[in-house]
Amino acid sequence: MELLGFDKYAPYLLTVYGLAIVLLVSNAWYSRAELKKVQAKVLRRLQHRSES
Amino acid sequence: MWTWFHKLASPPHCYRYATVLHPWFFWLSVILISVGFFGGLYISPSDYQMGDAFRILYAHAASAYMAMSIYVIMAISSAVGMIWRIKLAFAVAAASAPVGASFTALALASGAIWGQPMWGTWWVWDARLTSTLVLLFLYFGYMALRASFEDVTKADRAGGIIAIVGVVNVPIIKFSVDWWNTLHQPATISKLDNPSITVDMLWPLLVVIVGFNLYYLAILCNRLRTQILLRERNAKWLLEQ
Repeated sequence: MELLGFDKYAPYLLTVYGLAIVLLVSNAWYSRAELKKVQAKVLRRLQHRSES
Repeated sequence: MWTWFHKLASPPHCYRYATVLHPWFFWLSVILISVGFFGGLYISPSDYQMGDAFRILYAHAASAYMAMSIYVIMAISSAVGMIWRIKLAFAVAAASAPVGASFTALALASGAIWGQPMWGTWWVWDARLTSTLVLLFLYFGYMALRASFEDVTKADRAGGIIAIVGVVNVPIIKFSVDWWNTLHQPATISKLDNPSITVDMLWPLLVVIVGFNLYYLAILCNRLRTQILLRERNAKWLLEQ
């Protein structure tokens, strides 16, 4: 099956690159989400302690 | 130089550097990975035997290279943490593990997808493939062992032992194709003075490798900041950030 100008191996090629992009994006998104979550939790706790 | 390194080992300085450097590493990596992938998919010539299937190389070889490099970084930083008692070194190892495991998984998956049309099978218990699978289990083992301890110091030391002992697997992966008869092809680009592929095919791979390294540094910046926040959660300097 030829796709996007590639030969019969196009499905294999697109699967690999799709997987690579999904892994790269999900890693970046997850590391950022985790940082924001921990940052909010730690700063809230510190602010609460400094106020009391 | 040493003063700068000493400064970098202090959590507030490291946190600040990681915050400033993250967007630079991230956006540069996005540009380089895009250029490398485009070059690999559309600019480099097709292989006369493998056709377009050879283009899997640009995701596969670069991720395999990263999988091994990140494990070596984990082992070195764990050793630094154990020898010089630098907590931040353990944090670097802990922050590196998930991204290293992802690259290893990508190398194995892309290798299997490449193997199906080229070798006629998704998987063989070949020395290169098996030792790479062992690397993935080492990453999982490191993360699982760390997660099993509530005390960060104990988690650092136990994980550090796995990282240091497991690094023996990296030269086994690298030289497995020379030491044993394997289906996997021998080294192509590590002999940069005399690479086995033409420059037209080589440059996108080098661009992707540089892009993946910058991507790793970008993720490391975020994960390192998370590790610092967890370890320094009672420190008042965090309020000034």
